[in-house]
Amino acid sequence: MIKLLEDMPSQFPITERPYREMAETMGISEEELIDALKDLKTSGIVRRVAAVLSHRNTGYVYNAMVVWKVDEDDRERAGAVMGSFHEVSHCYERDTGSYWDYTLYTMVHGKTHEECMKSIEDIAQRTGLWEYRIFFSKREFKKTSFSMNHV
Amino acid sequence: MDILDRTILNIIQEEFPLTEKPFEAIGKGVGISETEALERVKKLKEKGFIRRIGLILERKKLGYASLLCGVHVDADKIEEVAEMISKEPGVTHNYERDGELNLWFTVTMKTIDDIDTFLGNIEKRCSLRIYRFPEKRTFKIKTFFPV
Repeated sequence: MIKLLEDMPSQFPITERPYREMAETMGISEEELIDALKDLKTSGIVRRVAAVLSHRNTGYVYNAMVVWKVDEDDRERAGAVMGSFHEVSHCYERDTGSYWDYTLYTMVHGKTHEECMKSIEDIAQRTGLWEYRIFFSKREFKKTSFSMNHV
Repeated sequence: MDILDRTILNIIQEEFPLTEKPFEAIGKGVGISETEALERVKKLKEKGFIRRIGLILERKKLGYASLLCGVHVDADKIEEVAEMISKEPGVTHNYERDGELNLWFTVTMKTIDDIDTFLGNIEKRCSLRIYRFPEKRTFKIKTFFPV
């Protein structure tokens, strides 16, 4: 299974039968590839088979990392609320890194600066959490996906 | 991009069909032919709206370690340091941000020791202190941008 992931190209060819085409270069049948990918999905190793859009080209140019101060016994609730916003792509509880007291980390996306600020305000309102800091991205140096044949 | 393109993008960023003829399935969903669905997706890729179509892997289930790092780099050094960090294939994201810690990146490698070695080297070569923010709980990982 893992070998199969290493052999898979990180992007599918955009053709009528992409699985057949990939299977051919991998030396297996189309059916075997599709079945294997279905199994990998069931086991959760493959989270999704999907198109990854370019934030920039689809207009979502702004992204802010927002870090939140949240009491330990409130993190489960707060994390669930934050995750329910579609503007939030990532929400984690993290270690403070011996740097500060912020424990919930969200990535907030928007088409404008104002749109991001509005989402952050909405999150604060809905969670009742007002101790947070916002770090807008100024420059993107790298953005790729995790892939077995890159790491 | 017309309304049909937008609908297709919203469908396939959620799920690309895992069937022999995925474009036939996409076309059926929006009431167009397989050929037209294929042509539209091809164009959306060429125009850069789609970065890639492929697998989104759960690195935790594969046993990989990952770490968010933040570091302060002087303004005149930031490009040089960012480039050195981005060169490592395990670095998936690397952004300059507002704030004292002005460079934030994520590293994914086979083990946490590999990550430590990588960070140690950067710290030594550039005389920097990299802060580490390991994950304790995941509430959400899902990028979905309605278009």
